[in-house]
Amino acid sequence: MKKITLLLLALFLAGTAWAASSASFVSGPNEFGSGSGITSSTNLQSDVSAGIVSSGSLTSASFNSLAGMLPILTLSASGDGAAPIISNVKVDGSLIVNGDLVKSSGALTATVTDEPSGINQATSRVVIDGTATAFNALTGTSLYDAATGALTCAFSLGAGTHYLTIEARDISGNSTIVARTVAVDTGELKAANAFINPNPFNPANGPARLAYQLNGDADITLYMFNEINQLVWKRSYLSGVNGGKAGYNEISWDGTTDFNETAGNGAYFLRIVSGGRVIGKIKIAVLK
Amino acid sequence: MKLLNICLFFAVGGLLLSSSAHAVALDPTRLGMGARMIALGRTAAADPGNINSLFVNPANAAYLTEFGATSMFASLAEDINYTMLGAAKPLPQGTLGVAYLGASSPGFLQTTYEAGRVIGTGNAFDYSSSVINFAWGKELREKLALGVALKLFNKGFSGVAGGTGSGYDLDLGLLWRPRPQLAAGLAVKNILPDNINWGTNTKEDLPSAFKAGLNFQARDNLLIAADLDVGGGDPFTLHGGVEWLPKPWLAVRGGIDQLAASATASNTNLTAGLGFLFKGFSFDYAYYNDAVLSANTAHYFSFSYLLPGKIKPAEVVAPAPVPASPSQVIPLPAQTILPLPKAPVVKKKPAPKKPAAKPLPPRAKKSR
Repeated sequence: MKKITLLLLALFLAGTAWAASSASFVSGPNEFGSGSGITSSTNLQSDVSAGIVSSGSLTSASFNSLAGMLPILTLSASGDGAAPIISNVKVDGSLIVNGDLVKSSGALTATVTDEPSGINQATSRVVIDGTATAFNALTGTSLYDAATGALTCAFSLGAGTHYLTIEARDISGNSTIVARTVAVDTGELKAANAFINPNPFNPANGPARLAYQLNGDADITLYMFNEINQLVWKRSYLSGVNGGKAGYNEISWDGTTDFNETAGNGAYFLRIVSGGRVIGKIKIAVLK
Repeated sequence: MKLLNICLFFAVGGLLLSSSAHAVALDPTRLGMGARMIALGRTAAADPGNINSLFVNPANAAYLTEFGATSMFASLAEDINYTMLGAAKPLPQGTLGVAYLGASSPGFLQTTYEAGRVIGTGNAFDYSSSVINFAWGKELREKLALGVALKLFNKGFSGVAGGTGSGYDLDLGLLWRPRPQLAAGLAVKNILPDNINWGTNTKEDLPSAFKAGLNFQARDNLLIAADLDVGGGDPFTLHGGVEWLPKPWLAVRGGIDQLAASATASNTNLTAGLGFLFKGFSFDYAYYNDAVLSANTAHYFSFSYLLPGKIKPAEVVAPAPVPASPSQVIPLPAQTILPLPKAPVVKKKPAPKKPAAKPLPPRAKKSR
């Protein structure tokens, strides 16, 4: 009787765990996976919301974290136990995470490899807003290089939220899916999500990160003023490089002002300026 | 006597210069006290009797002869709001003034770093800063006035552990009036070291700095002022301003204000302003054009009140200087008799009147 009870309890816990796992990757459009099969629909978001996410001979499932990004679901088939690896998911050369701003025209790149089977280019695909293109159907500047694993897919997007997905499958049917939600803002240039970390900032504990997202490439100048509007720090960045590129920009500040001294405790005001126009602000607290 | 005054002036100044300390904390009173001062390019080192200037150089207080009250309001780039309130009253022991300068800035966002991104936590805190300035000034000897100011500082971030700091510091000032139309001032700011204590057990210095200035009443309705700021690790900066009174109730002002932007460079900003006077009340407006960033252009407003009176002249026998601005003196109705300085009145004999021209009498005919 006790053994039967334990067996039932074990089955219950296993079922609960599986239900929780399934719920986690169908809860949003960004994390999902499928087995050896591939959906026939080209609208992946509909597939996900409909719960069409797994099929085939599933033998193991695991979440990985790549470069500190969001979880990537890998499903491995029996035989070749290793799922494809998708790494360095970037837009225009910059690593992206969910919520990042990107330019309306750009290129999604990644490194997609698999050992030992190799990538199945006919079933692996790039899905942009539900429109899927198999790796072997990429043309022009979009291509997949099986030798290096380099994947490039050019895109042109309108304003709004967009879903970028890379589904990689190997010959054995193992699959890995990476999805990102990005946004395109075709309005006037702005610096969104402008923050400093940490805040308050103690220069004695190491440099702070000044971060902001641009909706387009632009020459940028950062001005930092003290509480009487006196300029204390200034840096300029060219369009297209960190500090002036579309998407996420992160600048390091060690707390030293242009007066060659550590900033005193108090309030500082960073203005992100392009073309003489303030496109973003950060309020900085220095507290040593 | 003049030589003695000059020697005393520069000896004290030189002595104070040697007490310079290098520090990093900010004295918010550098913003300026009153719209008039800002419109004049932040010149106030030598401005005898002005209700606002005595909080920049306390020696200016020595020449205020009546009770006055003042204020200032400004918002800098919509990030930080300033309020200043002040009052001063002459006493037998000298003129005593007190001013409050407060700043507040809400919305400092707390953040975290996750997955390669800085993201907001949704929490925020506020910053506030205040200075209470007690200024005293008295004419030390003929033509030379001394002033002292005690400043109490309080700064802090709300809700941040150890995020408040407080302390005090002293300003000293001299004012020399070699002529009624000319004044020279020297203020030494923040002469005490290590005077701001934070809840994090950090001590900070307010940088000692020197503000020297000249004030010249070029004409009855024209004032020229210039200041030089030195110290605090900054390059020296120049300030200049002109005030013109086309009407007794109207002042038009303009100036230039240099502001250090690094250890070796400064920016030159333009200022302008207007002053209006009505029955003892004055309204002053200052426009500050920031050369670095046009978005930093700021507007300052001041309301002041002075009891009817006049600026104490430098010498009783000399004619009183013409008031420099509506905030310095209240013009009285034309029929009002101003209280003249207690000076010996030399009565002069009235000049003999010239006889009115009369037609010459007809020339008498000479009898032959």
